[in-house]
Amino acid sequence: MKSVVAALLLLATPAFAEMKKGDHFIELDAKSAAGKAFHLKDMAGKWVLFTFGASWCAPCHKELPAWDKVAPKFKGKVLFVSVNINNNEKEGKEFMDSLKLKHIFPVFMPDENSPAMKAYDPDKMPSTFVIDPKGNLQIVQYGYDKGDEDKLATALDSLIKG
Amino acid sequence: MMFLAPIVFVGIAGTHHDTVERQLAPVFEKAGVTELVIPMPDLGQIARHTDASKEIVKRLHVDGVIGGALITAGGQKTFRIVIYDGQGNMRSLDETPLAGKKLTSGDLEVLAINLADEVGDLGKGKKPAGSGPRAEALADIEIDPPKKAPLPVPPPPPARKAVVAVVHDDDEAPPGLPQSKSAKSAPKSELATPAFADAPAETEHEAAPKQTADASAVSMDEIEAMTGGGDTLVDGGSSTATAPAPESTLHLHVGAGLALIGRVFTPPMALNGFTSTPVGGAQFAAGISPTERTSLDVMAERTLAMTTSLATSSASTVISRWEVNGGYALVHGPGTQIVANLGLGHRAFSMESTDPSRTPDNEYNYVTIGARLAQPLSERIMLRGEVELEPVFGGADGMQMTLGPSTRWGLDLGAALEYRLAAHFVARGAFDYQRFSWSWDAAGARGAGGASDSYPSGSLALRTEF
Repeated sequence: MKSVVAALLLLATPAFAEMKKGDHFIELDAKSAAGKAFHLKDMAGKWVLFTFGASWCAPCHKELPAWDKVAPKFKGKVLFVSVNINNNEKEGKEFMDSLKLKHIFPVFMPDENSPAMKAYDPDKMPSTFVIDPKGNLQIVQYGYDKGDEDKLATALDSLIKG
Repeated sequence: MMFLAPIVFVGIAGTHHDTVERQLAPVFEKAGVTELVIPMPDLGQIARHTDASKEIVKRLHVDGVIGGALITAGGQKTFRIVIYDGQGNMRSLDETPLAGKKLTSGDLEVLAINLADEVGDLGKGKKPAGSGPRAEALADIEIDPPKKAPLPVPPPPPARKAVVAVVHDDDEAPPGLPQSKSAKSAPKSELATPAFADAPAETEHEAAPKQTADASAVSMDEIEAMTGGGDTLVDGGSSTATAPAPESTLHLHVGAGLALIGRVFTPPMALNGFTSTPVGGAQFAAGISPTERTSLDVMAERTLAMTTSLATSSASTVISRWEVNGGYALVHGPGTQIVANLGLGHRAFSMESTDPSRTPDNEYNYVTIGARLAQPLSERIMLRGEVELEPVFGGADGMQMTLGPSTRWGLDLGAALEYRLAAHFVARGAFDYQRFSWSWDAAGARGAGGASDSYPSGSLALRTEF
């Protein structure tokens, strides 16, 4: 009953704030392909770009290879992480394998039952977040269009140089 | 009892949208979306998501409005679909490049899945639009240069998404997360434990050990090693100063299939020609890509059971071919790929017969100089094409005894459509046309003219790749 009432409250709630620049990151409940837990907190001291994607998200098929091209420019400075949210983990892994990414670390966080996913709750896919070495969000970007990788690279460059 | 207003599709702005509209009709029908005709200017406003679109949508008094547009830019047609809730808030805007004038089946499938989700949410009156349109989203790339001086630990942010708390009873906090007291009182920090809060100043961070305390968790070093991003490697749990191992880019593929191979040989008048209907054969192909841009491919094909009827008997006949090609990708990436290739090949036609009326055997050893194109049509479908010029430098010439030494050269055109069945398996249908031509220096004197020897073939193959 408590859940039902709460759910009704949720429906009545007009909107929740989205993750925005300046917010502190919310920890992910993701795992690597090998089954190891992945924690953003363990990346402290580095810039981290993480992007939510899935095999059913058409732009993600272009976005991840595009980020993969940009990543070498930030070697040693920014960690690139792809958070695959396919509920079917096998499909997610096949999708990630098919992209043959070389500079992006894939982790898996099935959308279903992921509290972190509910917390980020991106309206559009793919959704890309960049956190600074202190864990504050500095870039929030929804969607992907051809050429966004150049804009992202410029933005990252500017941020890192301070 | 509450009746829900429908979700309506108001059409596609732009010209030549009939094909896409026909493709989408069953998708909308399945999703329970009804069609509604609105004035064309209004449709344009909705598709472009202008300031006026909100009011136009609200006036329709429905739960949701879907509009589309065909946009042409740089010769590429793109289909845009925009979805609004009943209040005119844009929920999503997606653009999908068209293949010719239509959406590919893969794109259509993705669109149907996304549409079903959106329509489901609209029907339930779920969250209003959070993010702005695509253009706004891009503008949302907010840049705020980090402070150079050490900053105080940021305070825990306020509750952002009550949904996390709402979906769990008080005593049902998700694994690994602190229990929340109520939806309203659940601060995000409690839900998320932003442990960067422990982080010292940035400069100290850089010098801090990069290992995670938890051996079962992914460490920063592991990520850097795997993505070629760092200067250290994890070795038995401790960092070493060795350089990262070079990322392996080695890819292999092996495939086999069935082929139909034919031949049309048109010699000078003095000799008998040869025309065969395509006969069954076997085909094998393999390749290796040691680097991103380089490749080495081999292929071989051979008829399996071919006989030729002669005046008094029939003769066992073989058409065979092999090629070895080295390639270098001139254009390389996730989209179009163009590869220049150079290699060697061998084509042979032979018949086991001493019948004087038989057509001559021929053999061609040739160089391949050409280009290959790969163009993805969708997530799973790849179109390939190739063209090769093939100067012949050797091989038995069955007409030499009669017509003297000749100059021979070949041309090869091929196309293939590949369908990715699974991550490592691809089905391939291909067509190839190879044609050799002759000329004789003394042709005029002997009245030989020219000759041609063509080999059309088709094949179906299964390929596995790693």
